Amino acid sequence: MSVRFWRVRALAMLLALFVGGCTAPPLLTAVLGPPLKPLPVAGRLRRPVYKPYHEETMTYNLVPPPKADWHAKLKALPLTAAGGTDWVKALNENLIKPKPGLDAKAEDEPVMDLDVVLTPKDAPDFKVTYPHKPHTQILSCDNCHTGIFQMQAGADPITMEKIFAGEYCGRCHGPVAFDPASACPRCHTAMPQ
Amino acid sequence: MRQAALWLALLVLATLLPAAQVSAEQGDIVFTRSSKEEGADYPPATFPHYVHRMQFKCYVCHDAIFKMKAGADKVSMDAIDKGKFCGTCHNATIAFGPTFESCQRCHK
Repeated sequence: MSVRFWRVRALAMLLALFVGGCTAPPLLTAVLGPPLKPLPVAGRLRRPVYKPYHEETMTYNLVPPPKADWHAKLKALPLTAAGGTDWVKALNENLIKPKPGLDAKAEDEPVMDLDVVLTPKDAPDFKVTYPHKPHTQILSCDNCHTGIFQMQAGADPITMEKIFAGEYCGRCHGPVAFDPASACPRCHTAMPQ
Repeated sequence: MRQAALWLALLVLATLLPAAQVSAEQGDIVFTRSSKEEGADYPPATFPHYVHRMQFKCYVCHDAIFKMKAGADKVSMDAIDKGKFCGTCHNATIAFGPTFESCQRCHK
């Protein structure tokens, strides 16, 4: 064990840690088996134990309905160029059929096909074209108006900082809809695609 | 030779280091627990947004049942039992109910 090679050894140690850290999850599963499920906590009963679905037969109690594999269904949906789920395409290609209400007779809210063009005064290259159509396919007017947006183009002082802070478009874009940081030309339509 | 064996052992050790396995999807909302009562160390509920948006349009829940801001609604199991928030549908009639058999479908 000479003193000369301590640098090499330290580097090799770091490399081993890095490689090990990167390959840990798949190898962990291979070596140790699937991860353990957390045990239910035995606590004080704070709610009625069970509300049977069928009072007489108790079938719901004994045989719960089969669980759908929603994650597999999500992975089957198309992706955007940035890698997120393309919900607009999924809806337009009827890959998902979201219901308009809990009632079977509920009807879709009207879809409005109106593009709003917002052009910053000093930067016309950053023109934003906002399409109402894909939004009104799933949202109603009062989801956004007038709690988030005024009903007048240009009435709101929208900036990218506010969007990234979760205001205006950022209320949905980022948390649940496509991330604004990942796809500039989807809104700034004058930018090169 | 002994050194090689040492490094190999180190590599195996590093491989077995516990690594966080995150499998969250976009839009998942984790309801951090504010309850101080017994059993409050139970894992917080995670709301999978994608499961719900594949079945319902946004306006089914927003803004009548849930506000469009995480943490804006004080969701509690008592409120869910009374048919508010998640309990609007999760009542064993429209969707699975909040029973002791189904805790881990949300609290996982």
